Amino acid sequence: MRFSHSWIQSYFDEKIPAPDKLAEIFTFRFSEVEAIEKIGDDAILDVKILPDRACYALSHRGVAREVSALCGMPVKKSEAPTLHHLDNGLLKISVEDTKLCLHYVGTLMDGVTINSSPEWLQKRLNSIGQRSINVIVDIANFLMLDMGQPLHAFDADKVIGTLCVRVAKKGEEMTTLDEKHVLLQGDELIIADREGPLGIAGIKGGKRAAVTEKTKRLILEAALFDATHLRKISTRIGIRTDASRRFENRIPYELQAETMDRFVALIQETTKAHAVSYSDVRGEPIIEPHIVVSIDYINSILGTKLQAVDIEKIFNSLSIEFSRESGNYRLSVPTWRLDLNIPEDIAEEVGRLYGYENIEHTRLKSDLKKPHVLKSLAIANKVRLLLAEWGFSEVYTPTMVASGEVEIENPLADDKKMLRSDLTENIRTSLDFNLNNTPILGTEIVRIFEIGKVFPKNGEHTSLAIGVKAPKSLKKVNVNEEIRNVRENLIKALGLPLGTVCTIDDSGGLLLIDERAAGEINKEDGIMELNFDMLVAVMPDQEAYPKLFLRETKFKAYSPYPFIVRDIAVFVPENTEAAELEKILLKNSTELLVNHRLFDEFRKGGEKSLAFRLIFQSHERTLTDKEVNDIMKVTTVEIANKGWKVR
Amino acid sequence: MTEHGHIHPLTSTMSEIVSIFSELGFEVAEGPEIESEFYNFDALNMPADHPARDMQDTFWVIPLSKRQCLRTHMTSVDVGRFLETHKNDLPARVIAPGKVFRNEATDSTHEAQFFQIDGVYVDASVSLGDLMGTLEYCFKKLLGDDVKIRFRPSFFPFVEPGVEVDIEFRGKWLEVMGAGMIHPNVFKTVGVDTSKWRGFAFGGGIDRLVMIKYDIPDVRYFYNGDLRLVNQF
Repeated sequence: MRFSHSWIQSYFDEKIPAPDKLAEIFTFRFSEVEAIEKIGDDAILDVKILPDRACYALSHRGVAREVSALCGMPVKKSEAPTLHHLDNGLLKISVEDTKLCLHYVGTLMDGVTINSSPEWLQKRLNSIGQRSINVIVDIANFLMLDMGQPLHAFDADKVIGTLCVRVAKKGEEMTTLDEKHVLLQGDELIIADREGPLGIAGIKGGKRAAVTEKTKRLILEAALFDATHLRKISTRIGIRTDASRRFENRIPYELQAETMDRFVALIQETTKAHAVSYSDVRGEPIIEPHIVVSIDYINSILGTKLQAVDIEKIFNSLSIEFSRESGNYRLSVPTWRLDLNIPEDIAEEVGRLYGYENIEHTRLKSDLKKPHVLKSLAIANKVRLLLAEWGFSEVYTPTMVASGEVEIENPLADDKKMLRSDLTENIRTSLDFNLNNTPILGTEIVRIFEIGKVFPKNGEHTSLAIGVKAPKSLKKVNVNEEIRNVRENLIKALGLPLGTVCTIDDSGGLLLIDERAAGEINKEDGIMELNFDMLVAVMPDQEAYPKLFLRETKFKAYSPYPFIVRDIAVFVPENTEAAELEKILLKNSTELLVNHRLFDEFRKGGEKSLAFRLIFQSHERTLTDKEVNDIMKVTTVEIANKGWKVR
Repeated sequence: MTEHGHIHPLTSTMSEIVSIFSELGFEVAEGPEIESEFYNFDALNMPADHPARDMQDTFWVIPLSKRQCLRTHMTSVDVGRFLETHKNDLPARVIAPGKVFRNEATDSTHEAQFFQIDGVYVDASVSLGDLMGTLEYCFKKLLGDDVKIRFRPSFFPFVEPGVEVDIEFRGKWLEVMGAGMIHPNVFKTVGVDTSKWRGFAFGGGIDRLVMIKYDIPDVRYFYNGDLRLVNQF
């Protein structure tokens, strides 16, 4: 939530820390400040309010109380006059379900003129990015941001009969303030009159009794609705508001009447309206239990050696009342701290106010028991090392794909709505992709593998897929033969009881473990996939995890732009080293040459032919043929000057 | 002679982390990627219709009536499953590395699938200071002795107190983990006796660590099967 520094300052006589300093205090003692924005003579702190502290900290007053606790400054007292004397029965409110509506405070006001808001109010709202609408809506918004209590105002002349808080009937309809049509299913708590729904409780007001510039009389609402019910309804109908967010995080029972007093006082001040009647309907009061905790317990959770005096100082700063009973504290936490319920909550308060940086770091007591080795991980690492030794590189590919047997809700994209049922599909895509990049990779054949979960209909398992691909021009390579070799090597190296049933040329077949199908050979040429869980199951327990190599390297970014390949073959005298030619090639090629290699060499009639493959690519743009041709031209001239002959 | 192959940097980093924790007596646990609502949420003090569920955008598996999701964290494995099955076999030191999923739009720093490592220590007496000391030791082992570590107040439903863990690496502070003391509600749900045992738990992403360690600019490079990345390791 966005907090205005000057708004927080308005709670104090003393000067609070400057925005940067305050942000630092918040981040290390309270909650992370994600941004600070200077606006005129104010600064806005964007504080990440997490669900635990949302019950009090989604309000400027709540955050002012944090400043008070953290900086040791008292918060100014301010109280609006109470309205109990107006409980005259003129405003009737009927609450049918006091489990879902725990508290409803209403006030009837007369003599309202709807103007634009006074400047100070507009400024407050604008400072934290809220638009000014009219004086009533603005005051309601202001008080929600200030006190944390959502408020609502109805045009009293549009409310027909008694205002009623009840569960909707199936099929009732409502149009919201922002023109959204809602068909009610019959379990939503609503505010209604004789004619039907006026609002979905705590989520969104309806259009029918909305305040307009013609409004003369108001019914004001400050209520407390059940957090779980409200969240369920707001999620289902897809309306999330600043109000619903506060209700679903719970707000204190004591806040409604207090905020109503200020709501009425501010409207009286700014619009000359006056309160006519007041109604306060309460369900069962919520009794928050006392927390009992000892100094030792707090210290044992935190790993500290705090004394009573340190802890009591922290209790006082947080307005936590305490008494000591036979070594234990009996605590009474402030009404707004609904997040403090168990001794661990108190340990956190003590820890953060004491300062986490002041807690001594301790090492674990040594455990002489050697930890159990997880067989599947040990074997996976063994297989990884073997495959790498044989020239295969490990890839990871997407779990969410276009086609599979298990579907997910709300996918990121239409082609990511299924979970992969095998690895073969992804391995083929990866082989094709990498085959296009072989000049950059400095290789001719792509050899890859993946170990990962797959999700066929009958349940997930870990799979191992191995793939080989070579360009068609490379006639000497038979990918199915390569797969046979790696399979046989794997069987030998692991002592694996893996049976195979396959065609003579290995163009297809099955892998068997204990005579059960465990995988497929070359369902697609050059790809084999095996149920890794079945493989692990027939292997013996492992003693240790094989150590994988961890390279100390710095990643070199690769270019997103296409590359250009040029082959150059040169006849040189028989005693010339390839390095001499290489030097000339490098010299003229600039930084655009990203890879090169000698790919052919033969002798003929006292001469030697050397063929280099050169790969050009830019990190900034797509290279043109002309740029590369120009480089080649200069190179060719220099080679000719040496008396060598470009073929 | 075939050129030597390469192992994915995420795998080798995870393996390195596993060996650091193994030396401290931690064993490795594993679990399913399609997880029940119970282990992913309810057991971890995140009941249905609780705002804390918003902290993790979740992929639910169809049919929704089965109440299964792609696990959103590895905490379902070590805190949820492992502690439940080992509740009568404590103390325990466990880590769980594995793939997790979040339903978030992807960009250079966000992927819908990524790797996490989660850890748990349960014993008769365990403190926040023990957690701090353990994480400091392990980050120094992994990234070097000059790494600094700090802790900030935060909230994760399955711990109390809960902290955010930052490390300073090459002059920059980075948020790398969430951690804290296991919440009594979690112990109660999985059946661990709260009068005898206390524990800490921690968890964080591997991808981000590998990105900062090797200066890799885009998390998506890890999962597109591209050897231009893998072959550098």
